[in-house]
Amino acid sequence: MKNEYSSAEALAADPAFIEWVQHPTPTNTAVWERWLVQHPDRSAELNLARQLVTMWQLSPINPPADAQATVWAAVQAQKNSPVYPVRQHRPAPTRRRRTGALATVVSAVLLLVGTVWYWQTQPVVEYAGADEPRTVTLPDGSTVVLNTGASVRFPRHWSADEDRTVWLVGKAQFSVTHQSNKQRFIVQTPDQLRVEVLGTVFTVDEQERQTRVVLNSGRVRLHMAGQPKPINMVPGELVDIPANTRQAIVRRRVEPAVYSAWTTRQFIFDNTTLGDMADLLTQDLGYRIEFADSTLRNRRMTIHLPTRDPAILLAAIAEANDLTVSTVTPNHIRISPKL
Amino acid sequence: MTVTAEDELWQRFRSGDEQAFTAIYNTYFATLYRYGYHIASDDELVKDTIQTLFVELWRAHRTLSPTDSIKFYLLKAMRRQVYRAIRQQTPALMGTDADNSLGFSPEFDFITLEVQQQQQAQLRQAINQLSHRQKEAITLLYIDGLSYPEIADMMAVQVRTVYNLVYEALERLRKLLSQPGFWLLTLMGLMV
Repeated sequence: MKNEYSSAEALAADPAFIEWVQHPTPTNTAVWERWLVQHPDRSAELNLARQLVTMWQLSPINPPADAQATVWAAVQAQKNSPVYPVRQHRPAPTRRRRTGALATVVSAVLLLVGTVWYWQTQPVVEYAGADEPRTVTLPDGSTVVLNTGASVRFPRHWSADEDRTVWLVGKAQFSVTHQSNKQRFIVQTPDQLRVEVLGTVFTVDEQERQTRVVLNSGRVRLHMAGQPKPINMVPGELVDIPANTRQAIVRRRVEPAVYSAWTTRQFIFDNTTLGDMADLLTQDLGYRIEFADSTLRNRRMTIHLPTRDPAILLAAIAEANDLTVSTVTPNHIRISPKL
Repeated sequence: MTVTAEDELWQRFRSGDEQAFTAIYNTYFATLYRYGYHIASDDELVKDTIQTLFVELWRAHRTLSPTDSIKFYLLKAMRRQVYRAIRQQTPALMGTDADNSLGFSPEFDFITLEVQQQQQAQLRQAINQLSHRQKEAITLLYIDGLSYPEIADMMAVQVRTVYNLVYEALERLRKLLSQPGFWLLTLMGLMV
């Protein structure tokens, strides 16, 4: 970062500034806030530069839903087939050559058939990248929004008489299609929780310590290992299943939009405690948030932010509650009453 | 992805690890698709190009050189392949004016911005006045997150030229944005 920027353009062209606008962290936010304190007359230009960076939104933002899978299937089918050099002038094949060519064609076809067969029996594993959630379409038309770092495994085809089972690691929101034969849809997590579904929207957040299921609409039944009785969830309900089976299962009514806001890259909190917000920043973004006074955790507020920007969220929390947010290390935040 | 993780992933791919190959594909498919689409505006051509790119990558994995930025490596290869595919499809474009008719001309999306339709139209018009190269340089900088030297390498120009392309384009847009009342400034009150 340079100290002097002659104009909004100079700011908007600067890699350090772009990095801050696109990926704010407590550290770089502090750097730019300090810069603004030193240059109080430049705040209009800073705002303008921010708009220049954020307005550059290409459309379409995402490729068509099936493009990634279709192209991958073609790559898999082709990548190991032998390469023939392209010849400009091909001599007329002799009889022996023709037999040879025929054998080559036959073996290439066999190889292709084998590859396609092999490929069709392999399960599909889809991962979200490190930067943003990713939408995956399942063979039955259901969709899964995978949070950063999450993955889902499923077979390439489901026959009509088998359960639609997917295996989830991490956090995902499922929108499940309803099948005319009432075919079951099951989400299996590594800790032996099975979520059974009939056409519905819900989120499963599989974590080391606990798995959280939030139901937006429809009906979901939870089967837990070692628990004979399943839990029937109703829309608007949250259930936390601790990995340690001796701990209690927690059920409560929530605003489901709050828990699926990550799929649209927003922050939505309706009458939510600061403690719950801090937990979300901890689980999703790896923050460590410390409250100087533990009663602060129980304060409630409502906030809707159009961008999933932790720096703005923390600033808003501080502003609305008259608190001080201080940065201990980049990901370690301390929230205390204003002195 | 950190530089070492990326370096390691690329190493594993070069030694023939199918999982690494899959991970690279899944990580960069959307980036490559978007970039290709804004050059060619042709879904089928872009998908074919990505397919060719990855088939060739796999076949050549033993002979590939190391890289510390997989994204840059792939985008550069993608750019080459897309232009090649366009030229093959339309041989009439071959010739001196090819670079004027071919080029980076993306559609823009202003839905997330809190501006009126009339202002969106003004923005579109302002962006349409930028050159293909200006649009490409800004997109590589803002959307794909490449560095100035990487963009220069990709577009086969000097780093200084990239900086000028970006700066001149931003200057034009800034003139439009700084007209009184153009923006409804929303979140900044919270930030500053």
